[in-house]
Amino acid sequence: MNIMLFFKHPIAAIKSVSTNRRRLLGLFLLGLLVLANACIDPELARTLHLNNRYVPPIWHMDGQWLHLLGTDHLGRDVLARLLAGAKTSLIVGVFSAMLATTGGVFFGVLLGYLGGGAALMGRFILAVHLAMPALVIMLLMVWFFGDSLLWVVCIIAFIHLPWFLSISQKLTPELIAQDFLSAAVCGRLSIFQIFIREVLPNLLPVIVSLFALEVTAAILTEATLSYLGVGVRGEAASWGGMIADAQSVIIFRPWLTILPALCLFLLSISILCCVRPQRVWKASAL
Amino acid sequence: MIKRLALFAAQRCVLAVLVVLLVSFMTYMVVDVTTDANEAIAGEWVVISHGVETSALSGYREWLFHAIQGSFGESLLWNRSVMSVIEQHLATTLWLTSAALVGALLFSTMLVMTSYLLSNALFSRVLIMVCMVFHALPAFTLGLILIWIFSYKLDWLPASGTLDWHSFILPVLALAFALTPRLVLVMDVTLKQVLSAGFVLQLRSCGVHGWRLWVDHIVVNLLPALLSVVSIQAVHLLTGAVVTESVFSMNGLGRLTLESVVSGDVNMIVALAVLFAVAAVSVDLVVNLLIFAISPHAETRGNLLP
Amino acid sequence: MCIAKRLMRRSLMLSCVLLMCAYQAQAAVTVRVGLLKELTTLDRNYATVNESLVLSQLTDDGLIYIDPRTLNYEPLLAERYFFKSPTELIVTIRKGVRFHSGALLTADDVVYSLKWAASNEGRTHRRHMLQTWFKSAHVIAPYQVSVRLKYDYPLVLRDLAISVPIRRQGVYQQGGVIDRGAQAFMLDGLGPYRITSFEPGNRILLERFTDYYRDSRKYLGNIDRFEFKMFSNSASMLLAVEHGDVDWSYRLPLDISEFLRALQGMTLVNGTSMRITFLTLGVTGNQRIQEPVLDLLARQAINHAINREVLVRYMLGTGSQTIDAACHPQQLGCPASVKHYDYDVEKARALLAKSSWNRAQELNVWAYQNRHLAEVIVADLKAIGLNVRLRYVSLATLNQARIQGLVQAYIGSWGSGGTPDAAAIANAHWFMESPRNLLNSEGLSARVVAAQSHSDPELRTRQYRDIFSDIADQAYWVPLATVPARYLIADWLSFVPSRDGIARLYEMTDTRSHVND
Repeated sequence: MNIMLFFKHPIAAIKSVSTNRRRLLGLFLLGLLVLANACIDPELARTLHLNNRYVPPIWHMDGQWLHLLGTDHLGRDVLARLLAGAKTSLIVGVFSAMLATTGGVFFGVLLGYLGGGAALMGRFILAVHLAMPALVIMLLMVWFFGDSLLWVVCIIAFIHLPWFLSISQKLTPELIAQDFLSAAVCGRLSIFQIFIREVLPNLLPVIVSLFALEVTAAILTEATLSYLGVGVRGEAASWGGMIADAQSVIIFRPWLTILPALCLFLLSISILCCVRPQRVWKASAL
Repeated sequence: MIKRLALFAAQRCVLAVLVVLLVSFMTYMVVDVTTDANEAIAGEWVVISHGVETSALSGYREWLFHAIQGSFGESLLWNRSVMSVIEQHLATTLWLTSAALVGALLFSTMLVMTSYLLSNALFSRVLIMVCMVFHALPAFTLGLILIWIFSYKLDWLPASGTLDWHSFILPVLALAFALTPRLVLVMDVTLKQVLSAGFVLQLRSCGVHGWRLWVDHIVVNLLPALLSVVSIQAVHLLTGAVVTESVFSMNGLGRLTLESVVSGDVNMIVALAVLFAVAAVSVDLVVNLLIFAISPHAETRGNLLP
Repeated sequence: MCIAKRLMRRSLMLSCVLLMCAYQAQAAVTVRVGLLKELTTLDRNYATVNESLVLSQLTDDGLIYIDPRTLNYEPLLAERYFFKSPTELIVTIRKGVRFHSGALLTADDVVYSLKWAASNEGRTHRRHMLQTWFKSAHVIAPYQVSVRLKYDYPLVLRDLAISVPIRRQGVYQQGGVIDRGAQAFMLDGLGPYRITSFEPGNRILLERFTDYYRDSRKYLGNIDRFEFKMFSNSASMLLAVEHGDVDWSYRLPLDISEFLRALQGMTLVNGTSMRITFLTLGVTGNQRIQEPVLDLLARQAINHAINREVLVRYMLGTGSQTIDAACHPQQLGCPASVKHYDYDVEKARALLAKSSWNRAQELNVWAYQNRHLAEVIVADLKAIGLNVRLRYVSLATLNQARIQGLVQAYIGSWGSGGTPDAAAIANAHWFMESPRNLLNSEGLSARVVAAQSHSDPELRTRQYRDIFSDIADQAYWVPLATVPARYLIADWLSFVPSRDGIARLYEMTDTRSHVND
């Protein structure tokens, strides 16, 4: 979807979305998820029914209508937990991507504008970031600071920020070079206005595509962290945690592993569907 | 030429050392903050710098002093020197990661070449879609699915442990599948760019075809971009190794990292972080030297070091 | 021609049969043991998990031996022993006993092992308990050792049987440097089996020690080799079992037991043990703990908040029963009835409201095994309004956290080494110096020492009754339930579970084999 079109002619932009079937599908899935989450009582995901442990889903012989997708090792309804996990994933994905994007773009453009030594520093930061074992740092910080959603969001954003920083830093100089020329000629716009009017809009399409990729990456990172036991776990549902809990019984209760994995997959795909794939991959090759 | 290469290599080495030092410093600080090593009751805990430290900075200095001599301290969990524990776990991870990288490179090359040779637009799109699908699956999910299919349903391969080469097949596959999508996508994009470049058309019109075109000209232009992607993937490889080793219960450095973090084994964590940093930086160094040797004027996009 | 051919054919058949017989006679019987804990050391001195005890039964011999049929103490490495006085034990060591390395056992080795196990320098995992009664040990004659006790400790023979593995003199001090890991990877023991290979966390290979002394009281079966396979989760072990790669296992979680029952060629056997599981609560007044701890009303509230019946029925399975006292009902001295806290959520909420515990304060409950049980307990605590966080860690991490004073409460289990005596659990948990003690009370510690300072069973029973009644009244613990032993045994193996729950694998016999020992 053309972002600039959205700002200038919202209705036309929405119409353009509806003509693309793939994007529609993606948005539809996401909408369904949000709606379902709003309808389900969160208590359902937390109530234990120890006399009803490991009830199989409805398509099994012993399935019950009360628990459509069955129950887990403590008798909690799987469908409710999946939706609660969706909430976790979405919150972590969207917010950490927003944080990483805002911070990264801001500092990246700044460094790109300053140029020279600052640019070198920016590249050095990226080098250190890539060399540093991000997973180790993440594990440590989440283990220490606690497994609340807030901390997980901040830590994932912190780890992914340099990526946005480097990309925006690389793209800025070319844009600035052109625009300074025209501004110098016209002599009417301040630097800040140049940023807002010219640099950012040209940067945005790439950033938006990367944003989608980043949301997916953040969701998968959160799932990995909770799978490893370091992160949102236990009562607060998370798909990665559910998969870890179910791993010991994967042989005869595979649905407990497959369902959260499927949800992870569907969520990532539906987010990726909302942007043009070619642009996404081209941007990620940077 | 050699002189330029040597100069370039020297520059890179200096930068690499700086990066590793900085990484070790940052890791040490983070570890120090998160594990409260200072508050341990003396005598029961072997404090990180072989003595009672007064501040994090002095602790880091002592640690660095010992590290340069090759001693990373004693592991709290294993009651042995950190280096000996790492040595025991190193082989598994090396085998896993190198096999997975080779596998991923083979897969992606095969897929991209097939796509190019077939020149079928549908196949191309399906390939991209399949890669997107695999990209959306985290590494541990792939591993679990493989376990379920091959260990349980088909009963062909073992699901865990590192007893013999059989037990390496599934983890290597899982890790390779996790790495392939990005490689395929980058290769695809780069290949299209190179093939549509002006110089290729020129060469073709001069009568240079087939193998000669490929080997002498195209590959040489492809390699820099590919190699730099490989160096970045090396970093993802380590993360993937941690997850894969946990899923398949392999006794490698990845799982060791996880256990050390969860147990607060300070010496081990810092030593492992430094080891990973050194590995990442050396891979990048080698890759950069190769790129420089192949085509000194190549654009090194997505590079590790500035 | 024909005769020659017939002769040749017959001799060929005969040689084949002979070869087959020879092969049968030489075919080594290997039993593959599946463990759900990953052992990183072979040395019993530096591991407390039950799995290391099972391994140690094969590789180490102590001075004394507990006969599984009678639960009496018999001499093992000791030829005979007698009490010169209530505080002095004279032990005569057997002659001609060899270590796996070939060295002969001497009295110096015994004294060294005793001193090392109880010393601060050794930092062994059982030194706190040993230090409470062990005074000194000397060689008084070649092959005679005198062990001096601080008081008339009734469990001295039991400690000598399972807490002090005998090692070669000087083995932990190589070249003047203390090396506590000296026996972690290569074990030089005295037991009927010796280690041939060890991959930490992965696999241990053991083989029959051919020079094992013949006068040993250990009843040995006919197994030639053991292979201990360690699995990090029950799914991999189950896959291995289905594959036929595991012949014996124990301590199986309830979740997979139902499926194991359905397996062909394996039998699930229930057994008794002295193991109980409980929630230990940190107590106000304990200076060692750095985090906020619970006062009496809060502790009593927690006791009322946990639904023990449900835990027993759904999480622990048949053979388990709820307990009120902080000991196993079968242990000498364990009182039959102490203050009972019934499951009453309203009462728990009321008590919590009256207590001085700040509801917003986070209570960290630590656990290291049986995660599902821990989650149910945490859910019960949350239901009365506590802000609980479950810290599920490895045992080594919990040990360190306890030393640092970070643990406010933890879920533990204790098998007492299979000893039917309350001292075995009381001294481990209520001594001042014990790392498992979250109470830190001098008074209670002194009473526990007093109850094990003499051998009068009636007086001891009375003393323990007072101790455990006080513990229940003050709600220092939430005793949950007894934990049944569950074994998975291949049909061709004959293994009789012992009453004390200690798995003595050397007794196993292969019922298919024609070769008798």
